[in-house]
Amino acid sequence: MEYYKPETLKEAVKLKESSKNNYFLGGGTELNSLAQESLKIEALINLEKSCSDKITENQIGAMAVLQDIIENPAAPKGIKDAARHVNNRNIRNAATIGGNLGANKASSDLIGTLIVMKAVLEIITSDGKDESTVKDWIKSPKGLISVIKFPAPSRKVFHRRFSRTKNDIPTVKFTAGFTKNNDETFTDIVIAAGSVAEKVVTMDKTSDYLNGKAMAHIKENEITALIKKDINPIDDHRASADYRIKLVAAAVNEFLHLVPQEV
Amino acid sequence: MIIEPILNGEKKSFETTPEESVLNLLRRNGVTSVKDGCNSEGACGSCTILLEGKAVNSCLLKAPQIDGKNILTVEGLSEGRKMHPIQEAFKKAGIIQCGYCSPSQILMVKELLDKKNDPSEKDIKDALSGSLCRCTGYKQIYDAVNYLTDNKSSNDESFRDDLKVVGKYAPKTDADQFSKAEPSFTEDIIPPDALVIKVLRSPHAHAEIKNINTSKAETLDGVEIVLTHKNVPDKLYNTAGQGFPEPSPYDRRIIDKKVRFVGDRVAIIAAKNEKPAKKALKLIKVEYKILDAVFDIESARKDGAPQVHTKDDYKCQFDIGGNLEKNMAASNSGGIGNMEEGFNRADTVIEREYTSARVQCSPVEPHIAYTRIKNNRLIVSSPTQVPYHVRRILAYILEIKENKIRVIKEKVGGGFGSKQDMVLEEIPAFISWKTGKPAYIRYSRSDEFITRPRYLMKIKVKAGAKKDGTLTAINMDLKAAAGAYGPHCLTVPMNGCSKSLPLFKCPNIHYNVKTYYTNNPISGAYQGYGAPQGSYALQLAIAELADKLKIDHLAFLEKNAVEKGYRLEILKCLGEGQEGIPQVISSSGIHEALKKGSEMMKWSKEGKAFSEKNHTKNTDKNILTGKGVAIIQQGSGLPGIDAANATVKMTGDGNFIVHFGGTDLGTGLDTVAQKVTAEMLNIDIDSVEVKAADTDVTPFDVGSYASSGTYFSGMSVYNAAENMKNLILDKAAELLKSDKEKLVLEHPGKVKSPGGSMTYEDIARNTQSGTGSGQLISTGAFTTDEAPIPYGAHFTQVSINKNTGEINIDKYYALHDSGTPINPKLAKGQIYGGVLKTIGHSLYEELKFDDKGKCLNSNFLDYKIPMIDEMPDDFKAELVYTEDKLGPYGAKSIGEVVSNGAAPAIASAIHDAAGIWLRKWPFTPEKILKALNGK
Repeated sequence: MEYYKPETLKEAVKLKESSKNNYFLGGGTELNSLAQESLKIEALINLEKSCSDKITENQIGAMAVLQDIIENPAAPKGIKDAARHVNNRNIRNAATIGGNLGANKASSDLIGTLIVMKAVLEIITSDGKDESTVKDWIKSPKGLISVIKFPAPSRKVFHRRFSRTKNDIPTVKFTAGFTKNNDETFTDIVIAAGSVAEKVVTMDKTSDYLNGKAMAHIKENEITALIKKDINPIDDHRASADYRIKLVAAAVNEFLHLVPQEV
Repeated sequence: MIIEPILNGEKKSFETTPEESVLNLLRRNGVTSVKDGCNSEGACGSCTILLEGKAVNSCLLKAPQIDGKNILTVEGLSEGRKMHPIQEAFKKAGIIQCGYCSPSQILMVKELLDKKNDPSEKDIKDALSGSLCRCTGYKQIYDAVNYLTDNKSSNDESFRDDLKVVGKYAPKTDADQFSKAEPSFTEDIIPPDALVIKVLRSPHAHAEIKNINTSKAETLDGVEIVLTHKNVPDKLYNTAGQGFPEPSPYDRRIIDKKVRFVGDRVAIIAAKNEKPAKKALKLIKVEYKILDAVFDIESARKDGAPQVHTKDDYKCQFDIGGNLEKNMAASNSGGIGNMEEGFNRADTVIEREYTSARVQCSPVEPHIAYTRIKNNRLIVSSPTQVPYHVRRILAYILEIKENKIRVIKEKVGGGFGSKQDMVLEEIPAFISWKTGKPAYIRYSRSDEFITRPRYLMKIKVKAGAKKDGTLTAINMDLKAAAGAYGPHCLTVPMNGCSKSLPLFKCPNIHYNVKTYYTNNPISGAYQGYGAPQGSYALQLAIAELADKLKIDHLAFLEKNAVEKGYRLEILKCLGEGQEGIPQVISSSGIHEALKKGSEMMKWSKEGKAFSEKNHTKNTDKNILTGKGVAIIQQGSGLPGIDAANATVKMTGDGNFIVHFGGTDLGTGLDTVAQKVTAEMLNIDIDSVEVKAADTDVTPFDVGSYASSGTYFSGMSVYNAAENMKNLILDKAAELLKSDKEKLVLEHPGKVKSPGGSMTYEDIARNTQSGTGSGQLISTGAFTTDEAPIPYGAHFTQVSINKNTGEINIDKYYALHDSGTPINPKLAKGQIYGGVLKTIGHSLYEELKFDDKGKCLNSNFLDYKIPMIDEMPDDFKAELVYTEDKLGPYGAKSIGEVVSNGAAPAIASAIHDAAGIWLRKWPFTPEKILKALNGK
């Protein structure tokens, strides 16, 4: 195995593109885990020198470490809360936001939040700089994520995480971004669900149904039917598919009833 | 490549590769404080280092990532022999038990305090959120941090004003060693030239090996030896560390021609290092004849079921009730009174079945053994709980004399029963004996998960009582799944009855125990040894009975629980494969524990049967709250079976060294020996050093299991110390020319007569001189036919989210009668650790298998165990003093009884909250929600 620590993003991308078995290395909490032993890694490309870790109100460098995001007063609240859901301090001290995105796991505590916050990714490829929504990128990953940009003003986010223990990956991770109106309705709703499919997914039918609808007109059975159209979870040793559907329904219910009290 | 980190303030230059983890790099270069407890998945935190001041997992870093960076490990904290204040605080707080994860916790606290002078409880929890500790329950970490930030005096709890040392806190004898991370564990002493051993495991649950071709593996460069069923001794043996003759069948070989579970041994490789060992595994070609398998009790006992064992691979030292055609490994039944009459007298009778789960002991240090040959003798180092049994079994398998084998118990990084078996020592032992070379084997975490899980049991309880709550009859019908082989197959299930039924004053009791072979991993001993399963079933059945009678559960327990002086006739039947010994209860703290606990819970005001309870008090209408209680007991060793021995030697300056066979698993047993000796001889504890559990050096002891340590090993030390006291008095009488009866021992280490006094040093100088009578050496042995019973009561309050089934433990109060606690703070550490472990068992821990018998969650990412965030919101351990005459200074055991209360207490609290009875472990949110919806 080779090890590189390029000085520039361009150099990093060039190294990556020289072999499909070359990998970008952020903090290493995903890539270095033995769970990845199946990967045939030819080279590790450490992004420490080339990729930013700067945190501002509107953007975060991909090499920013989760704990630094939490501790930085400028970071958007939604992403701070999501980072805090990575419960293990040792992991948060090393894991980067770019690494979490790059691993692109269904159980990611951050991806759903980035989707509902409408974050935009700055992507570096051999052709230059590009931008992508998180939703698009996770469907078809490409290039090197260098910066995560957040629209201003920052969107409000509701999180609900279900797991067996705090350090477990979520059985279901529910995230909703929204605008709260004076008439107690929500608009501009985007809902994402983790651990219910191969990747984090958006629940567009449920979001559309809830958008702008008065509480009195929201029917629980209709929501459950829409959730079943939006997601098709698997059974595994953590929970059954049926239970995961129930958790998502419970999370929608909490979103609708808790948020009005909190906002 | 060369990297140059600054390690503990010193610039270093290390040769490495990009593949190498920082964990491996550090260990390879002598930094042994970092441990691998989770197969480098970043799940346990035992490998923590401070990287530029931040706690990170070194297993998840590649070596080049630390080039030029500042690294701090615990080795860099202390200055010479002087410990860092955080290390001192850990020692003072009593948080160090097995010590395997202590260095990582110390570093996590360092990061915290470097950033915050006055951390909140939330900050402490967050700082320790990456630490997986199976021993401590985390609670006393808060004390350690508080000592450092508030400069609080320790305000240690004290018992028995008449005693100087016993009943007061003293740090563990090895607290400094662990705080400073001195090389202590087996893995810390393995030389680089030791052969690395790997096991090829069966992919099939039940199969015969038709052909096995190892020729390519044998010729691979670096491979020393390849073992299969063809070249290992064709000898049946039993791995259970139990007194001989063992009540477990001899039903396995080092490698058999038949495999009986997914993970069973097929071949073994020993090679010069990991690389050829792993490669050689892939070069072995095996042809299997796959057989039908049985994975549950019901299938195993059916007529015509596939037979896991035949008479050719099942030998017993005496009849344990096996019936191989029915896959029955062992059985037993018995009782007292007249069951028919008992149930006829009852106004209400219930019959319920309760099922436990396979859970894993999960010590953070996996099984490991290192063997070598010295002077034509076999030397074995391992973290065994039973060094003398290991020596005996090895001598039997290898057909060599016991005096040609030395077994050294190194420090144990968590045992909990899993190391009561000789799980792997025979593998390197055989290889070293055959090749003459040093060898070691260390299980991976996935190996560990299929090693000796707790026995799965289905327990049917029938119980009857009169309207006033008087119990009239109890019947327990217990079926257990042993898995592929049968260590402890009679005694674990028997213990399910013998540590639960004797809690109640009931004249008519019957039990029926049957254990079945299945094609699952081999079950084994686990803290509580069957009692947690039995306790869950019986205690919950009693709760159900009380509810049906509309009697408050607590009142029902108070009415029926045994008390001091009650004769436990049922124990006559419930022996360890032989007739038991009825006991008269020498002391009992049950009723005081119930009283104190009910006050803490404010139970007497609110406790009502579910049907009468107001469940709408919680301000959140989605949350249901409820309270639960359970009474519990264990034993203190096995009267009539266990034995222990000790020696006390006076040094040349009048201090003492104790040699005893007891095996401290991190529980503080060495400190018990130290304190008992100091108390007897009226000296400070640092005048006593303890050497334990080395078969060449220390006298025989059965080892640490069955809660025998404090009572049996402790009493052997007590007797040896008492004999030393007599030797001192005899010699002083001679030298002071005084009557022995007129002499008294004075603190510290003096003998006083009416006419003068002399120090122990004076006596030592005299006896050890050329004209003296010889060094004072005393011995003590202990066997008995009676043992004190530790009791307790656990109370809990839970909250349940009725929309999701999520459950929170709001309160958990564990009240324990351990007689005179020898070391109160360490006893409380045992309680916190045991309770939290069993909260995990109750709520989410369970090994899962696919329909071919393959374990689906054999790692810490998929099998979750409690970490600091899983502590109950309000978690208290209380010691209830009772006066007892049997143990050393009135002490009883504490290590196992703590694990018997969580499941029934939580299950009854769930019922109290939501009106549902959960009769199957674990009580997952999904099961709770399903039960709620099915109400």
